[in-house]
Amino acid sequence: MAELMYREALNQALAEEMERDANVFLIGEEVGRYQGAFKVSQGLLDKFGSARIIDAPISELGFTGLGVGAAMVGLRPVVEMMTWNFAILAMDQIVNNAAKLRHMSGGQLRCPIVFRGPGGAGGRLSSQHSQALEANYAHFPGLKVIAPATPADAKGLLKSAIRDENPVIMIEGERLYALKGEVPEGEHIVPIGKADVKREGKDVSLITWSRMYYFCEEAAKQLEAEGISVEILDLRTLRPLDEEAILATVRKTNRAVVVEEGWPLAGVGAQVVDIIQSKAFDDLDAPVVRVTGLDVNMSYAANLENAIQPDAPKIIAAVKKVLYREGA
Amino acid sequence: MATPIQMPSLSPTMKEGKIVKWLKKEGDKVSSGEAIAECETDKSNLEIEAYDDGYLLKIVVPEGEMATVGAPIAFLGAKGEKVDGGGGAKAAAPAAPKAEAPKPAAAPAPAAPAPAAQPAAAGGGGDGIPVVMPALSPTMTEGKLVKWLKKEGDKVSSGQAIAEVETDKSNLEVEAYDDGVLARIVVQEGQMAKVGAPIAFLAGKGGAKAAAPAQAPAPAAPKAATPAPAQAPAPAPKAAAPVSTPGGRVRASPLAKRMARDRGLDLSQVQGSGPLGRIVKSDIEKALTQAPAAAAAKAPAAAAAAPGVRPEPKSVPVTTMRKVIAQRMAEVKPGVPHFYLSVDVEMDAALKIREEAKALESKVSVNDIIVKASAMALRRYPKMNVSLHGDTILHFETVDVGIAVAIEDGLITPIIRDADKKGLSAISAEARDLAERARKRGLKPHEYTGGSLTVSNLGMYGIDSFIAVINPPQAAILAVGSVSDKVVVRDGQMVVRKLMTVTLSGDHRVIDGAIGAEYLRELKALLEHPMRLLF
Repeated sequence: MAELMYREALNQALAEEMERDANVFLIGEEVGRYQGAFKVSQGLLDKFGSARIIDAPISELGFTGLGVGAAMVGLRPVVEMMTWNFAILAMDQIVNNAAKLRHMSGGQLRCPIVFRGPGGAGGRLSSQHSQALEANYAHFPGLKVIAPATPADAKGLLKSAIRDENPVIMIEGERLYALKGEVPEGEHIVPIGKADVKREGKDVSLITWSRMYYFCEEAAKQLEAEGISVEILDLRTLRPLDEEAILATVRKTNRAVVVEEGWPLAGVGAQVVDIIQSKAFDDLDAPVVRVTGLDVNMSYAANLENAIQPDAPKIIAAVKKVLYREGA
Repeated sequence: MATPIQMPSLSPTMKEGKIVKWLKKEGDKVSSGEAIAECETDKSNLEIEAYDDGYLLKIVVPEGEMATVGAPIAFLGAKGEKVDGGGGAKAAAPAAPKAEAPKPAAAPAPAAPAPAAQPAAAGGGGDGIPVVMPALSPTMTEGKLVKWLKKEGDKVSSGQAIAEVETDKSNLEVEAYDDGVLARIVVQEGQMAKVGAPIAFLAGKGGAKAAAPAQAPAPAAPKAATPAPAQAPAPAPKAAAPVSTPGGRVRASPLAKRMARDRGLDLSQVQGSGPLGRIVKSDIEKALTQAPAAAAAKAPAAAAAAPGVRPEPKSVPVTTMRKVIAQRMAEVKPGVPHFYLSVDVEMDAALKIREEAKALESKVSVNDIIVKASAMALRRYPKMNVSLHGDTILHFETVDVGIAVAIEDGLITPIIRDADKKGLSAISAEARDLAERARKRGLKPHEYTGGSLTVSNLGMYGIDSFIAVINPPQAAILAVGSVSDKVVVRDGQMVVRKLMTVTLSGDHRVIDGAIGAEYLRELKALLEHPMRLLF
């Protein structure tokens, strides 16, 4: 199996889907001539031409609206946001149009569109460029939200998203683009809505997604050295949530920590905790603990930026809390 | 680092197992896949294998003792490696009971002063060999000591019966697993003890040492035995916190509450290791292996009624059997979705068979014929011969039919194995023997476990028809009513036939209504044309 970077895996998925289906096109800022702000679309302009790899002006609301219109009339657009922070400008098209078209037209219109781009913090970009906004989109009925952690999942989920008949939000980890991993060649599909047990364990479950998965792995390794066996569930899809997998891991370990990069209030993790407490209450041996970003705007200073985000030591402390081994 | 070898789960229902024999001794080299011990589960004796290569550093569960599934029974590691205290870092949690301080003086059981000393002794630390309450049936969580067959000071040898115990199903003998002298009896006649709790201590060959625990009520743990070696990290649970808050509320995790409820454990008797004394899963597991018959001693003293006062109802403690029946019925009715199908069966031909058998001086009852027919129908409808265990369905290869036998304090369902293959007189003889011994509580566990269907017959009480509750983990039960003359219409004519109503209760999780209906149709055909029982 080839080892690819996360960005290369996305590039492969885009190229394969565009070859497969002439209705698929990519639009966004700098996706063509510049080969993508994060080089996800590298080489695609040469391959598919400017009619299908479309450089858009700085006008998120405009080109997102163009994408939604194109989807309504039968094309399958992929709209790249240079970062999800900028997509806030296009919120009206995403939320008021894409998410609601099927409902508002009584099922007569479809909107098979993918909105994708990087999210999350890291790299000293300060508060306007460092937000984990997945909870915003997961909030809306009519949207699907995916957030893969590994290159293989990135490829498989993007292919599923492009083939989906509904609008899909794909939040990529900005800090994950250069990360390498094995990626199956050709037809590799990861279904939307299925979580993945990335590590088997028996004492506690870490439930997470996207970049936080790597902090969880780091924490799990350290905890294992102390004799604590950690299971990691990578949700991969945030809407719809894979309740079955969440409940299965909690029923197995009886204790859970939910780790997310975003803010604590109304985060996706809060929903995960609600599922656990309402459907697996009798399987809990301790209250579920959440590890989230701090409830502040992101700092520019590197030390503060790190302090605001979850990391392995914070996850380890949370695990010890749910195992009643604080201070151990 | 020393790694623990845990008690494996060797059967779907296994919660704990007894180490019957160690096949390796401390210091021996062990390779992955090699059998290291023999273990008695709730179902059978099986071998435990090592999953790694290494040296058997320490055995923490001696022969004859129980361990819950998942608890370490030994430690494996590099040659000469030390396993400290209760078995080193990883061991601390499950092995803790042995090293930990006994329950504080507040722990109850005035009738039995011994428990305070038990944890130390139970560890096999040289104060005597514990004789523990064995698990004598799959559902047994505690047993009542009916009679001591030996008294303190008597010599006993391995394999000798030393006490009689009443389980939820029958009365059985407890055997000694070692030679020695019965040094001390800790559970008196009439008292209950949890499975795994010591009921007596044997003094080893010397005989002298066992006296020690007898009068050691001291709640303070010997300092030397303190667990948690310096480098022991997380797993050592914190010092036991008070059982309950001043208000009397017991703190327990939802999981611990569920486990206690399922196993009939009194939470107020369990020591919590979580924050503010919260009881967690590991505390329950510990309690189940070591708790001495906690609340058992509280005999309800019937107060004499003052003159002129209407007497209060007399409270009699439930017997073990009644308690288990109560628990299981409460579990099975809401837990297992039942469906019911009834059919009238013309029994004229079947009754003729009975008459003919009588002429041959063979005692065959209507029930024996029903057992045989229900078994043959099961053989033909294997989708009925199933049982649900968690996420798996067991499809039985043999046809084993239970017969419900009412006994003095409850009900028991001994099993007629291979009932489809046996002749009527064999079924009849076996059924009579089983029923007789059931009434004397003399059945062995293997005689009342297994099977997929039970025949419950209340016809002899004149009951026309009724609905029975499934006996889990079986998936179906047949409720058989009386045979009586009824008018039926045949070819436009009213005729009198001997009719019997049979009602099938099925576990709808594994059996569908149509399958049940087909099965009943087959059963009806077999009974109405009993000649078919021969084919």
